[in-house]
Amino acid sequence: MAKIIVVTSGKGGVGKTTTAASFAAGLAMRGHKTIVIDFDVGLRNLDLIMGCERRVVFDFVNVINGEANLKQAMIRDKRIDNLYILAASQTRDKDALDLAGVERTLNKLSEEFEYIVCDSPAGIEKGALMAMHFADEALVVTNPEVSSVRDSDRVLGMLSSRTRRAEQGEEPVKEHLIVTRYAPERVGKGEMLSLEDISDILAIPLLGVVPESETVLNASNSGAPVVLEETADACYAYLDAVARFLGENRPMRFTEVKKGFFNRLMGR
Amino acid sequence: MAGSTTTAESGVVFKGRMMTLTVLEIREADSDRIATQVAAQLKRSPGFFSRMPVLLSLPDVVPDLARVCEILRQQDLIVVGVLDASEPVARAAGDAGLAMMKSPAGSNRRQSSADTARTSGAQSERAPEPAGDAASDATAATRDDDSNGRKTPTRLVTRPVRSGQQIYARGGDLVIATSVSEGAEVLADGHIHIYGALRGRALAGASGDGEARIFCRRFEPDLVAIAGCYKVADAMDEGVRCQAVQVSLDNDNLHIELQE
Repeated sequence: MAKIIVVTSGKGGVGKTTTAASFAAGLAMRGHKTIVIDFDVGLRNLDLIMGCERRVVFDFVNVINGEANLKQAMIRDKRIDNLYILAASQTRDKDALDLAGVERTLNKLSEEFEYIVCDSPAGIEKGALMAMHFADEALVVTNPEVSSVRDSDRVLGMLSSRTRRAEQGEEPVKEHLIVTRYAPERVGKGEMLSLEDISDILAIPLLGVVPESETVLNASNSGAPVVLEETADACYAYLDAVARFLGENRPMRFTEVKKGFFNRLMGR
Repeated sequence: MAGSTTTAESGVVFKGRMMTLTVLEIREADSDRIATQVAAQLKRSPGFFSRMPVLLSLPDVVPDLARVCEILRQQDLIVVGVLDASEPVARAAGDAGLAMMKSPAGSNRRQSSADTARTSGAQSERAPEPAGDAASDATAATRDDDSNGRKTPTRLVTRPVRSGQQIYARGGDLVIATSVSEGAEVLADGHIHIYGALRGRALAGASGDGEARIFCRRFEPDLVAIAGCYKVADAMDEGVRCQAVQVSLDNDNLHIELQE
């Protein structure tokens, strides 16, 4: 049985798709057979970030409607073994998703994969509900600012009430916090919420902190998950998060202001 | 999915859901006296019971059921069924087109004060959204309330109350073991105890009890209210912010005082 992980946030533009792509890639790089599914029907982005937009023939909606089988729709990543992508349809909208169809597809994928990563659309409407419904675990992606944190709080409420696990009274969805676009020096200046503030409000365990970085933007534009950018801090932040998810104990990085050479010399 | 039966077309789905219903216990056979008492009860909280579905419980009496339904309908209540109906009541209920319901197994018949409508079941909920949470994160305990041997349900919530959620302890106290987020709302007819931070709204004495209080370990709310008297964050003294406080009502004034 595969473990189903939803990457969600409520707010748009906080790094859900980047996180879904890198987390799935990270799991695959650790040898786990993983598929990442784009639930953002009508605004498909995941294929761009994964750099496979030119290879999409059939998509998730085709599979749900029985117009294609899974084998035809799954795209194998060329760079990373064990990694597959199921793209969203760009020409349809969220109404094309139905719970029975999503469940059928996930059950089928479950036979073959160890992890199914569901990239949720923004918002708290149908698409987001579909993406989270069957989740076993959730990565809640938050930026260090008040509106993003509040939206994440709202989504956490939905994870504990609107998912299959909640409806059937099973063990609740396991929640993990990923803070993205974190800039310690701006926290110091009071322009951003600190990790302590965020943890205090959301009260769920912190899985990873991804530093604000140009590389993330460049990686997205060039169609490569950040975990492949070995020169970027964000790459190691995601690899750490994956390792922690798999049970390893790794200290948090990128949470302090970087000391310059001169400051280090002066012991400051 | 368990609990639902889907037809081939999925156009019609039967689903099993846990819901909270208000039970109206009638201990009086005289229709006119029932009408007077119901009217008096509802007058105290106008609008609060409006269009509320109720289950009738007629433990010892057999009033004119059709007449009772008519009385309640006039008061804007919707009678949906009869709880644990005896043989004659069941016949009358059948004629009136009402549903027959049984108390859940193991639940002992609770006593209630004669003049209050009371909730049945463990969860009380007003908003539809947190209904799922209610089932999973809230349990209600009953305790002996006073010398009359009455029991009032206290609702215990052990998981964080998230933005957008609303939790209502109807007819009793509400105990929240964690925090209430900004944008969340907690209500109780009795007291509210919050052992974490209160960042959202808390409304105690929601159906008019001015004696109700709010206790909170870390006080940074959007709004607090007791029996309809409210105060927004802007109107609060900075000195109580983020402190442990007790909120009470005195002559229509909200008092927010620090706790030791």
